[in-house]
Amino acid sequence: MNKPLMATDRRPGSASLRGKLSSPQVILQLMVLPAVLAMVIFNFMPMFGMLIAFKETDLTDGIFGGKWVGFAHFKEIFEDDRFWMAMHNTIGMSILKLVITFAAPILFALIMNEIRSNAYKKVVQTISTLPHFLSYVIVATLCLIFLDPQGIVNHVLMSLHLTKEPIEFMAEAKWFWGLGSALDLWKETGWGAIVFLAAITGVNGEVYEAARMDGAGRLRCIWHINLPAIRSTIMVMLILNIGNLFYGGSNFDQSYLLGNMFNTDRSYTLGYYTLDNGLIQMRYSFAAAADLIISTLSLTLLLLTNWVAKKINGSNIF
Amino acid sequence: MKKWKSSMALLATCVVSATVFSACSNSNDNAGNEASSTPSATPTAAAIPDGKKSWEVDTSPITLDAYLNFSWFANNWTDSAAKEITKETGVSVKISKPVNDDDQKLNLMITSDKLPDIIMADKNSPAWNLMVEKGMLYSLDELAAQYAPELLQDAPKEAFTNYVADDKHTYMYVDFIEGEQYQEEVKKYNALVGTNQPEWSIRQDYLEEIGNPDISTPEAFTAALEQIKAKHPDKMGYYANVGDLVNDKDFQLGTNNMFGNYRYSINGDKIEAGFRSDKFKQELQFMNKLNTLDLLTKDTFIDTKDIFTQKINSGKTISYAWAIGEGTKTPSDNPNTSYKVMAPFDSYTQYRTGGGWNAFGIPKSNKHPERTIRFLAYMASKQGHMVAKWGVEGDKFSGDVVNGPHYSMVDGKPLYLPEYWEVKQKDWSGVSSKNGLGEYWFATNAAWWNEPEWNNTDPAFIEYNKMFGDKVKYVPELENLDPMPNSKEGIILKRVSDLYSQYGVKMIFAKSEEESMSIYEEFLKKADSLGLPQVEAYWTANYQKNAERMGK
Repeated sequence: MNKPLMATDRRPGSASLRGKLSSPQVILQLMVLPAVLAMVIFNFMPMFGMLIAFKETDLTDGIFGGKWVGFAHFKEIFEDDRFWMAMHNTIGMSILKLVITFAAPILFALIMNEIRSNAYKKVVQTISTLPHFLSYVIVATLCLIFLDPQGIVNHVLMSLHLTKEPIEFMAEAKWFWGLGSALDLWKETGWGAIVFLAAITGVNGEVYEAARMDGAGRLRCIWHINLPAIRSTIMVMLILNIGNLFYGGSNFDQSYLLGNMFNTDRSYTLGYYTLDNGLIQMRYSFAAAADLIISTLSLTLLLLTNWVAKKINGSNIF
Repeated sequence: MKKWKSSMALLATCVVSATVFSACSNSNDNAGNEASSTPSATPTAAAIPDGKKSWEVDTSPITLDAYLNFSWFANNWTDSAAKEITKETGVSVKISKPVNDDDQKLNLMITSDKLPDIIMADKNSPAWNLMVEKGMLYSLDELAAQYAPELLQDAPKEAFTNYVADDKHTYMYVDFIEGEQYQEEVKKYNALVGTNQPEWSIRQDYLEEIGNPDISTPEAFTAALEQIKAKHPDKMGYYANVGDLVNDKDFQLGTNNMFGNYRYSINGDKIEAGFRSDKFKQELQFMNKLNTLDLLTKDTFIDTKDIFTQKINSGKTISYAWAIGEGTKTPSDNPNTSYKVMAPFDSYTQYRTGGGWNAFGIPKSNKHPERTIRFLAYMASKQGHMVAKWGVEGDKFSGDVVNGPHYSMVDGKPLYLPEYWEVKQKDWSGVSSKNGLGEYWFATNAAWWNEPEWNNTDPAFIEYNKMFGDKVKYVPELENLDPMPNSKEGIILKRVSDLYSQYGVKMIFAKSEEESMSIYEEFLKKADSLGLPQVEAYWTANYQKNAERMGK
């Protein structure tokens, strides 16, 4: 039950090293080499750049120049109110998004799977996937226009007498998290459903037939066949999502494009903090330090979730 | 067979690896080539035949990559002015620009040492210091002496004296310098105040509806707005041209000079932050008053420039703050009226340093420094100004904004044909996108550039000059006082600016004046505790240095 989801099958009883090397496996394994090298060069080697988080560097000094300052940048960050504000917003927004947007693609995939007409299914799937390909710059501009006090949304709300005064969606901080989640819901549900749909499609048709023979209705089939079929996919996605909590997918885009002075208290996120106080101020060491904090937290969270998942139901990714 | 298969697989693997990594090695090679090819471009000056301008020597087609650090730049070298420049110099410019005006892209280009052929950015951008320090730029005085001597003669004299680096060379060519030549000319033609003068506009039909009352003081203006708003409750009262306070460098809270506040407040021989001054308090009280009277909406500090423009075009606001050139728009809900430029309040003051605006630099990675400096010399010459700004000479406007004619010579001075100018003023950006005139301000001499607009017979501008003329102050010693953003003072300044943008809207949208003032006091206290006095000391030191250099 403790089998990692992504592990390959291991043959019982290992052959000698010589035997292993001469087997066709070696050739196949070699094919992975380019990917491994690419990862070493582009993902592992740049990590040495983290050094500058403990230095005071200038653009001209490079990674190895500059003088060591120990934890000075970290100290500054932890003493900065805006960092804690950003931390609070990032966590709050990410958790809200996780709650709201995680189950949606699963439900959507289950529903899509029940659609009989193939043509209709294709249309729905195309339409629901499209928003994913829109840049956030466009989404944000549309959002500003629609949610304007004199915009279409307020117009509709007022015509329906749901509100007397126009709601200032962008000017009131309390709306920001919900707005961010709603945008994500609209933008990513269709796209996110693809993985789950693929997993459901893999179910053998005979299983359904057998279930129906036993008198199972549609809901029963979904509950006892489809959901278990995608359970492992759900777990993997959940672990990845939680691990990504601090970087939080669209958090930065929303913070940067929809944030304003009225909602800063709720819209200022860690990604923006790094950009705002690091890159724009040309303080690359400071930015590196801030990002190192976020990365460390992310990694810890990922390992923790993985461990918990393993303890609870044996679904883990490594 | 099996052996053959496996060796093929091995081969395939090698090929794939090689392809994947060839990308890195290729780019390295290129970088090497560039580095080795640049020095050879510098040494010998090509002889310029007599009577020919330097840019006429070689007009073979060439494309220069230019980076403009202004996200709002609209033209892309496809209009008629650009084509004409290409015809005369052979140079086409491929323009790239950032998505946001925060120097991010520029800084990254510098860090990664990947600069295009031409860099253009605000002359006060810290990026210039960096590029000079790193030795990434050609010194323009040397390059011009060698290849394009015209530049040294055509440029305003301040261009090669006021911007010298520590090694006494000039690395950036600053345009729109309002130096001695300019100030002399501008007074001669009664043209101190131009289309870009910040102002407030108000809807004429509404003003007439309430009997054209006096609106020359903040109190009278507020009272008039109140009356109009009572009749048109669905309209916004006042629409500030500010975008957001993050970029409100002069601490004006969207009041566009009406209360005369400025980034720096001169207190004796010391410089203080502008928001400490009484002028700031006045504008704050005014804005807060508008808010309590329901004449100000929050969207004014949220809307993007596009939405701002669209709301004004559709007449959704009673009054707005913008510039004279955009101050007489016709609202789409009543084509028979227009907004009009309001007379400034007594407190209106516009400080100008006259130090110019955009700067043009040639990175050493440029493969054609010779052609580039000649292109710069062309753009800075009178001939270049004729093509880039004046247009086609003729007597009567044909109605065709592209082929003109656009201007005629009156008493030895170019003057836009009134019919053309009218069309242009009505739809500034629309006309610009077609003929490009006035958009390629890469190396402008402010006097030549603006000459065709100076029309001392245009009653509107004579009036505007009377209205705003004596409210413009030149204070060159306030130029470039700010610290580098990553310095100790720079970091404090950043914190204070963040604080200002956060508190600014809280002060304005406070429910009463007392509350607003107490938030303001709280803001000052916090700013002081962040170390604002250190920044002010830095400003003061720079100010005194400037004053000394300018002999004041």
